[in-house]
Amino acid sequence: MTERTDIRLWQRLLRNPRVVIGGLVCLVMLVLAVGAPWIAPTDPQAQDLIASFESPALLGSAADADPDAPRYWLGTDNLGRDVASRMVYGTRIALLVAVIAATLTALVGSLLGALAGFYGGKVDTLISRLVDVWMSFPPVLLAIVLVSVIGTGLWSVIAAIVIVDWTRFCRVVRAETQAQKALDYVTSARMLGMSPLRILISEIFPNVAPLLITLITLEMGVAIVVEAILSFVGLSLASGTSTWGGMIGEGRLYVNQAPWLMVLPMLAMMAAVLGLNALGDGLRRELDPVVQR
Amino acid sequence: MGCGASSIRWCNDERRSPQGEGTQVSDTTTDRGAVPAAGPVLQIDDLHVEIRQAGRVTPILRGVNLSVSAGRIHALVGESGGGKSMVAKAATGLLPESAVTTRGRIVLAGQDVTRWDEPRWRTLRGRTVSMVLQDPLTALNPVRRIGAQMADVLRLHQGHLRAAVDAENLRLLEQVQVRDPAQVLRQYPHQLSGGMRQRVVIAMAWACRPQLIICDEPTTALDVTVQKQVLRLIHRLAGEGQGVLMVTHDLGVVAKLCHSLSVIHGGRILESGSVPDVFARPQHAYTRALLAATPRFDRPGHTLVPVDDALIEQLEDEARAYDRQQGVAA
Repeated sequence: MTERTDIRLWQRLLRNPRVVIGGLVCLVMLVLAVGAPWIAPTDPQAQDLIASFESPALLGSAADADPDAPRYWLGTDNLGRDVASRMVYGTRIALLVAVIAATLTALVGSLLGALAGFYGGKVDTLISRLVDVWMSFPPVLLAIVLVSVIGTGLWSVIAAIVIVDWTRFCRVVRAETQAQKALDYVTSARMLGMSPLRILISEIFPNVAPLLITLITLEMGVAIVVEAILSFVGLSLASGTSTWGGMIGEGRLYVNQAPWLMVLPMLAMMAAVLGLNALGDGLRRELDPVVQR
Repeated sequence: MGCGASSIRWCNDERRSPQGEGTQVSDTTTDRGAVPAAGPVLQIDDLHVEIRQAGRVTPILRGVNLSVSAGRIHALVGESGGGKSMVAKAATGLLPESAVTTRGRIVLAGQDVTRWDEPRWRTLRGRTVSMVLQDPLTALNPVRRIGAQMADVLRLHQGHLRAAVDAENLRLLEQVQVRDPAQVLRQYPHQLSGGMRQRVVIAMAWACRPQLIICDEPTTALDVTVQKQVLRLIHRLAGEGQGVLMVTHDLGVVAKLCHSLSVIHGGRILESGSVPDVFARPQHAYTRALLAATPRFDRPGHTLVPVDDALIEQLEDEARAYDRQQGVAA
């Protein structure tokens, strides 16, 4: 029976186009991120000043050039750096930020949300008011202020995302925990003598988990966008590192001569966010224990 | 309370079975009273509980007296909102936080538990007292396997090891007559039928042989045929010497299964006694009205009589008068 139900879940997931498309996007990102040194045609920092603003070879315009010269499939930027390589390495940063930030955000937010929803009373009042106050700050502004205070860098970006976005998890998990807590199976567990902590962990958590998985996928998309915003305003990683947001920011300056510098990383970001949202949406439908039945 | 009466008379199918399930029922009831009545496992004396919320005080229990003896099934009968569930909650320490016990006491298995806090209650729940809830669909965690949920109870209270837990789970499920228990242990609640689920719930409640089991309308959510099987099961398990408090509004269940009953309305016990006595000679007008409102298939031509509105009003007036009197006294 164990295997059979598991297979059913997998089969259902594979039949859902959203899950498949989103999963493929994630898989491609993962392959690019892990295999960056082998996949990227050149070193992302290597400058070829003679070949600056080379248009993408894929468009065929560079075909007339000297056959020995390196081919830049997605063109080069103002310093002659290979856009394809930079985007591949940018995927690495994007995925890293997405995974770590989303996980930490989920951890902080759902912990506080679960406590508020389960214990109620004063704990709930305290946490809920905190969330209300927190959400009254404009999120992007808050992130920018934060990063400019704590300094730039990968971990600052992640910290900014966690600090800005934990409220999203907190609210959803609180509401769901409250709803689950009112159900009979929780009364039943109390009636059998289980401690509140145990009920929260072993009874309620498995019921909230599907929702949490969905939220985490959605949050990964948000994290990618926030990282790009911070890179765009120059508050993410040092400009030497390739990030999608940084590339968009730099490409903006040359948008008239070399539009691909801005368009390509934007497309990559859109594909990633759309893919993650599709995955989250698909998972939400398939994992929801109520819809399942 | 008439539950101590040694002569439980009635084993007469024609008289006892208002639900008309015929002669098959007889095996469930013939040995009723075989277990000698011992001292009460649950004794509630003059219990007053009120809800205090947003500055308003609403009395919900007004001096409840109740006693459940070991090896006996005591019914608590009344209409919705009459305080049945509140008594069940009080007896398990599950009253909402806004509820305040103002007077009276609850003695459970010899211990005065009236003002116990949550951690102390936890030492009793599952071990000394447990509860079978109304709807077996929601009483089990939808995303955990039956085996894991059952194992929790055993591990929590009896410190069983893994292998022992599996064996005990199988034994418990066999005892509640679940077919193919090994399979059921590996299934999720939604894969079982309502009757099977309720059997699992009952097995969990019975797992640690608690002295008192409270059944909160255990058959309301089930089909009539399944109801009969579950009731028979409860009867058989109760024969092992545990006290059962059966909260119900189904007088047919009471007639078939229970030894004694209390009629509750507006948080007051209107009448208590052994089932044959109360059914034969109801003392209170409300009890008579309830009996008249029960379908009797054994009496052709019997028409249902709804409970008289005037009677309900009168009861409510009495309850208010009681509150005023208490308010003056307090």
